[in-house]
Amino acid sequence: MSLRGAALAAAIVLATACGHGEPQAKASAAAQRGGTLVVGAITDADAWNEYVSQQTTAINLLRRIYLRLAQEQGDTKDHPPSFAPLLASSWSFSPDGLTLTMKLGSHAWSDGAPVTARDVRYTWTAQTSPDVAWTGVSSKERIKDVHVVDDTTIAFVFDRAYPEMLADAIEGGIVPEHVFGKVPFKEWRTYDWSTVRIGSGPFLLSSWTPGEEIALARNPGYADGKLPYVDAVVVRIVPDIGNLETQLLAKTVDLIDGVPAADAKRLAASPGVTLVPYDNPMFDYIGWNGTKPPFDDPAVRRALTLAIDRQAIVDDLLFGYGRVSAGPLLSSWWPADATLSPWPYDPREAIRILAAKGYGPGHPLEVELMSNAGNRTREAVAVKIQEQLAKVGVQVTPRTLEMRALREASAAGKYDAYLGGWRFSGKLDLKGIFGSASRPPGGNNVVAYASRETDRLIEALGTAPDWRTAKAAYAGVARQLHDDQPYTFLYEAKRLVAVGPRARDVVVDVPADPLARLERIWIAR
Amino acid sequence: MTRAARLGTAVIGIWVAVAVAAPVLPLTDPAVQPDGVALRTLPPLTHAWEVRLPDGTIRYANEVRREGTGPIAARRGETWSDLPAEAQVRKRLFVLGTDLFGRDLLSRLVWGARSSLLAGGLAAAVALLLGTTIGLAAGLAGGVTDRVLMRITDGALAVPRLFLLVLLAALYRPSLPLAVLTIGATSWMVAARLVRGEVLTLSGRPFVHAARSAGATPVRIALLHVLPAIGTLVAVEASLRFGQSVLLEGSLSFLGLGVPPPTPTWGGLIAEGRDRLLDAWWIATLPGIALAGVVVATQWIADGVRGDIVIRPREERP
Amino acid sequence: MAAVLLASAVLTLTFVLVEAAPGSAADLIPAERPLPPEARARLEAAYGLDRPPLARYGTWLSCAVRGDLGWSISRGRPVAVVLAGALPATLLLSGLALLVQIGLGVALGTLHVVRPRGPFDHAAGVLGLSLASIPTFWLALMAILALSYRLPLFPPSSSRSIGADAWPLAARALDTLWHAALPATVLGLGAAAALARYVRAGLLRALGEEFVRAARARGVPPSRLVTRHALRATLPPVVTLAGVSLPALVSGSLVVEVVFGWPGMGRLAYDAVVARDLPVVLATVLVATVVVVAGSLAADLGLAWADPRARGAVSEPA
Repeated sequence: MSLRGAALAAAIVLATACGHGEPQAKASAAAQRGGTLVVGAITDADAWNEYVSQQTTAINLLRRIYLRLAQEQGDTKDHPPSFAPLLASSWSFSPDGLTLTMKLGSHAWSDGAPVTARDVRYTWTAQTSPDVAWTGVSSKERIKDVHVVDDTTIAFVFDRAYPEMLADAIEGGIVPEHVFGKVPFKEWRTYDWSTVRIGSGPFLLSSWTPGEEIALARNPGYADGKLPYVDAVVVRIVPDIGNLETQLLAKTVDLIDGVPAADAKRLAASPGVTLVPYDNPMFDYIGWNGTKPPFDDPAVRRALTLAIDRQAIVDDLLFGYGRVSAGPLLSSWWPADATLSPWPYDPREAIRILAAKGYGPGHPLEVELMSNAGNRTREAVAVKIQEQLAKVGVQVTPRTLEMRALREASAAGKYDAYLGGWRFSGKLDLKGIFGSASRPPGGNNVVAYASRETDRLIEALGTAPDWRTAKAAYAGVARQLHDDQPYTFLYEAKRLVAVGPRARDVVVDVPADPLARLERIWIAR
Repeated sequence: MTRAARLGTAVIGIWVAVAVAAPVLPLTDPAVQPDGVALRTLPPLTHAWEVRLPDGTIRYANEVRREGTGPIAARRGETWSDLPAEAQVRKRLFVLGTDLFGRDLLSRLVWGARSSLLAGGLAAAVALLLGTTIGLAAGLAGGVTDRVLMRITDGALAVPRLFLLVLLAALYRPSLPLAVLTIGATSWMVAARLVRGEVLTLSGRPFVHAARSAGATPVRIALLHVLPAIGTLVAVEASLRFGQSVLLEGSLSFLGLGVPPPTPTWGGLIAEGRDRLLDAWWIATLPGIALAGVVVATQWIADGVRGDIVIRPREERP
Repeated sequence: MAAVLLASAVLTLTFVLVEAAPGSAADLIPAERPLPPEARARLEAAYGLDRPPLARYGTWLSCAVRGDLGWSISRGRPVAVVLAGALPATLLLSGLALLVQIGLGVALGTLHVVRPRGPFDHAAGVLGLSLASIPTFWLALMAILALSYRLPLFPPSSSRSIGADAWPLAARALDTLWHAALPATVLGLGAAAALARYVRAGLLRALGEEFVRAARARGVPPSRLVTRHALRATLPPVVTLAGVSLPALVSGSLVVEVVFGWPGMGRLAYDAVVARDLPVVLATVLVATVVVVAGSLAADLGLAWADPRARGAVSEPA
């Protein structure tokens, strides 16, 4: 399949997919070429290598410089997402389902050298190297080996078949062996990658003034000669969101990812400014300490969930940009069970259950609710929960801690409850969060939830060979967690992109990647 | 005391009284968010309506219309809805407006005074205690002790204070005791120098000689004879130090490194208002005026007690 | 020299404090990603953070002496490079603030004196007092609100406009000055107020001198008396005195840089502290201390040379 054919197919898939964000109305007249797109960001990049960086600013931009083999599309709701070809033009699975063979299209690095299968294998060795210590390495867990079949064919060998094989294989941008290979893995974390000016994507890094500005320039060697439309992208770093918003209104900034929901109304009311909400693969929750009575009693946890009006939180504190969460399966995602609704808001039932457990006006249940400092929304949520639980006679004391202190307290089991969130890229690690083997110290099952039934269901999930079986297993786990309520699942908040009048065709439909279509944005002059 | 000094004392006195009395004053709980939609960012001196329903719950509305004996139409944000006719409607005035989450700014300002003034006062006390002790020790002991202590004082003066404060507050858990300790531990130097200077001057006086020859220990001399004599000086420095400590605490809270939320502080309020300068300027402006007012008042008091001007170009600004 | 001792003492103290606080580069990983525990351990090992603190301090010290200040985890570059990028920005800002301080301070002080105890004196006194009491970060926010948002006269952040790299040198210099105008003025204002008081005292003193009285007897008009004669006498110690406050300006620039997004050392220090980037934190404290010590040294020397009498006047009350 030629690249153009693949792109056309991808476009059709896109057009028919029920994406997340509302499609942007300012659809093209003919796209104009040229101009500089100015993006506003609050945090600076920390390193120009995807396997070393921890900052989303850098990672989102690096994805436009070092392309991956394929791109996940936004149709994640009914089935696992489809993939559009990027560096790879086609792929197929072996009959036993354990080997994924991908054929590369004719792409070249910006210095002229072709993108080969050796680059792909080299990238895999970097991803799995303990010296590089990439934090996303768990996506490569099931890949036993990656071998070069020929210059343009690469084979990924897995030890097991499971629904997310393709997603795991393509995770992480492909880097050029002939450039990156000059730096030994041991030195990757202490190397100044901003001096490396190569790429396979639509953009190249052209300059970086730390703390102030990042400039990307069009990559003349990019496979699709028509893209990107703009000549350059400048990322303006200003640590003050209000400042950035003013610059958006003054038209010196064209796009900001992550404007607070509180500012949405004011921004949307300004002429020419559009707001694009998109689904964030993240849910927020209250974690109840499963080692401390009475929070170890599922009935008490259920009562507490019933007593919290989560819809009011979404309406008042997220200003409507979000939805109540029914469980860890994100509602925009195929594993989600549409028949499972969150517990309703029923304070009367909550009072009844608590009374049956011995809590009442004379003997109130006391909860110290921790949250991390610096997150204003969470602080406000804590206060709202305090008010709501007061109505059923539960006394809540909100307490803000530094993230590190919060982690320590929760790892040590010294808390009643805390407000937290989990964000996912790709797979949902239910075992790491709810498995009894992942309890503290060390694991992410901070609330020390242990249920043999849940463990069994998660194991069954782990061996599901295809997505339909997996979906049924996911539904089982979700229902179990719904009944046990180790967390009170609060909400899934949306993120917002604010777009100024100059920028057109801003489309945000790839999960967790707001700049995925950066090359298609154009400036109206 | 000059007129300005009296005015200054009055201002400080009022703020302290208000801060102490905060729990019993008829103010709303500063942390409560009664209605994030109806009460959001109301400008100062605006009204909202409090509707008490027959079942006891309270709703808020921006506008209320009652037609005859029919149901009450209430507007909450953009949406109108009907409430039962038996509901009681009460007008509420928000003198200083509300913030992003609908919290009354006046109440937050008063409660913020509590934290900020307490932190500033305690820090100043620590600074003064340390400084006076060191100054007394240096002045009375003389010789090597004096030289060593003064070298340490000079060295401490050279440390970039705000950098150190930010460092300490960010690394350890930000809290009231930490803020008090760190500000106090970096603000004692001027007091030490002043006290030492005065002690040296007084050492020549007859009454100290007399006490010495009568066999009084240095500590006794310090406490019974010297301390009362330098009282005015210490009072002046205390006033100035109080103002500066409140300012420093404000800076720390502004950076998110002071007394942690949900306790409101003036610096914290200004930080909250930082993102809303365009549409809700009062959230950042009013606490700043309060903060500046307190510092000006302390300056007036100091000037009044002292009677003349002091040159302090070495003083670091928070 | 005492300065070197001081610098190393500050450094060791900083290192100890930073080490004693829990936390590491692994904290950079966003908290909401459910990472397997081994990932965190591998990250720390990759940065050599699993070695004992003493070993790390030893390595750092031996490298620092040779000019290698370590690696910045949050900036992906050598610390020395990061500092070299940030220091000039802070020096520029402090230098401009110094000019503002001297200019405004002298003007204000002179205003005081032109008509002693008249309306000017009083107004100037009130203005000076207010300026010295206003919290710098709040003043910064108000300046942005008034002169950047409401009246778009100055840019609200950063040190240059987009694409300014391509402009000719003169245009670039003007652009940087335009961006620095607001932060430098805010930084210098408070210090200007303190300086104004000293200028006033110095001028009043000079006006009482022989040669000035002689000039007055000759019939020289009062304004010329002040500007020509008294000012000339007072200026040298004033300038050197302002130099004394350069260290204070460097330290105070922290908050101004954070509010204005100015890419200097203050902002670097704050960002590094938040990101737990230990090498950068150590380096900024070191450099800030060096600047402060050097500045004080230079100012003291200058002061002693310019006016031997004024040497004592700096640290004691008038």
